[in-house]
Amino acid sequence: MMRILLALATAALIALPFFADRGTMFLAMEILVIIALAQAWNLPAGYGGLLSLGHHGFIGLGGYALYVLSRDLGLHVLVAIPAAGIVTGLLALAITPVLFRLRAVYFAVGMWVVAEIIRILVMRSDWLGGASGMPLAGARDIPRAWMLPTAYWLALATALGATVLVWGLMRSDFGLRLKALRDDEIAARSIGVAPNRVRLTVFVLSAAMTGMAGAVSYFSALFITPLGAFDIGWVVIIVFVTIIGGMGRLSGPFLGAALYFILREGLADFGNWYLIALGTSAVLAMLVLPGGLASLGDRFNFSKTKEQS
Amino acid sequence: MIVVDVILNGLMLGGLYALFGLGLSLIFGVMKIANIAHGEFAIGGAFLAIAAAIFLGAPLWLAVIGALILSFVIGFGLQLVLVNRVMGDDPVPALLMTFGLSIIIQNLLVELFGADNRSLDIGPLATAGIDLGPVSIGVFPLILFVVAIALFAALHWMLHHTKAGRNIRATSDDPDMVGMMGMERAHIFAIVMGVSAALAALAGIMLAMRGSITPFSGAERLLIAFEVIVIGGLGSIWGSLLGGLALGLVHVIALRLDPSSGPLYGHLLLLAILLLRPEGLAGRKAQR
Repeated sequence: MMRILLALATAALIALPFFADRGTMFLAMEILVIIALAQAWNLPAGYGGLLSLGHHGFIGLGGYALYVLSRDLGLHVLVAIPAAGIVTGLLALAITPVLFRLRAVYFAVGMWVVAEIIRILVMRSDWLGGASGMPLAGARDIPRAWMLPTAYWLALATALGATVLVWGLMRSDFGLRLKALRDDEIAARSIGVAPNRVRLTVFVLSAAMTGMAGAVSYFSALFITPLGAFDIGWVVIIVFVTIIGGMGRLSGPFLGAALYFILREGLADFGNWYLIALGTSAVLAMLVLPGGLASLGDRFNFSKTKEQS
Repeated sequence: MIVVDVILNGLMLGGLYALFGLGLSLIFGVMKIANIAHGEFAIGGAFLAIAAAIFLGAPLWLAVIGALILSFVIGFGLQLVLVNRVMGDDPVPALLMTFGLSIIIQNLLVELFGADNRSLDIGPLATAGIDLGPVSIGVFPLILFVVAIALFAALHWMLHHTKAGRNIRATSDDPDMVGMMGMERAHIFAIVMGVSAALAALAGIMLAMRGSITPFSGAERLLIAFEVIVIGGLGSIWGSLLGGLALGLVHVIALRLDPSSGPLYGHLLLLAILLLRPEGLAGRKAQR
């Protein structure tokens, strides 16, 4: 039953460009990008206890990787977008020797500093267009009329792909090791879990997914600037969406994203108040619903999917 | 002589940086948590003083004292009502809670004051200088530096020579035992957060006197405070002073040699310290 429903929902989402208008599709695409980003952030943070406040660095890296691969190597955007994810993952791997000296709180803020360094370096690079950014060279790879549907399908593929990847990982042996490390590192080590290898893997996977979602987002924008691509505002949204939805739960990013977009669209006429409402929701969730909206299901015991960590 | 000039300016800027780090260092030391809202406490405190001075027409000294007292009360209250409820062995819930608070405070400031640059006017003091032959130093930066050093000394004295300080140090060493001795841990934490918020506010106020701030200035201040305590080395407040001076020097030298670099070299200094001397300049081996 559940599977049929999921299949129907997926089919409806794939078919959306054939009956929705541009505004709806843009919004749907944005929602899917946020879901993908939240799934990617949730993997190390929620399941692994490796919390980063610098994932905006990976969004920007993914976006810039797409633009550079398209302009300098002439890659077709449909190839360059997944490649941008891989490039971001490799760059994340390169910074782990420094970052993995930090734990917990220091890791979280250290990641933020790294994202700042990347932003400043990009802003100072003429090759990357400096502070004013650059246009997408490969914009002509896709016929104009198909741009938005293509961007939407890419966002859908990224969001569903990230969800399936996290789901599959958490059902595997690897997922058990990850959760064991989060819950009790000493006990996990004593039964042969290699902490740094496990953390490294989820961190790099998370960075790659984040980079690809960033590439999709900036593919639809056709222009990238360092101030937008490396904005800490991305992390604010991703973190709050995941806390409110439920850290370490597969449905968390979906529920949190739903609340975020309801607040944002509902309070669209009131300036920044939606951010205040979002922050307040996150603080309230920490106090009264530490498992997020996803834990409401277990509370009333009608949850059929046992995805709980 | 330009070298002396740069070093003096770097040290004086470093005093202000150290002050940003001092409050955060206190929180880390006593509660073992990170306060992501530290930058917003600083900027929020400065806006309280600006509101009192500009909108209520209070004299500057009164506006500053009022803002400091109010900052203490806000920090105390937030810790007592919110943050204490998520404190435990895991520092992550408190980190996320303060992250939420930082965004709430920042956007409230935007709604109340707009996103414009604001500053606190200190009159002719802002441009006064002392001529020391070949170099001259600003009077106000010198005052900032002296105030920062005095506050470090005052906090040191408070921690080591008063009853409240003894309780705070005991809580830092063994919070469970302190609870068993009949002290209210939650209350001590609230006092520490209040003091930290007031110290942050003072740093923010001095920043607003020295230049200008916007509601978005908090994030950068948080990173500076964080870098100060990691570079200096955790566990001692004097480490924060050392870290602040080192960061100030690096920023001023970088600004002279590479004017468009912004905080880049400060960030790189942090990475270099992490790679080469993870225990920080002050050198005590610390758990992180």
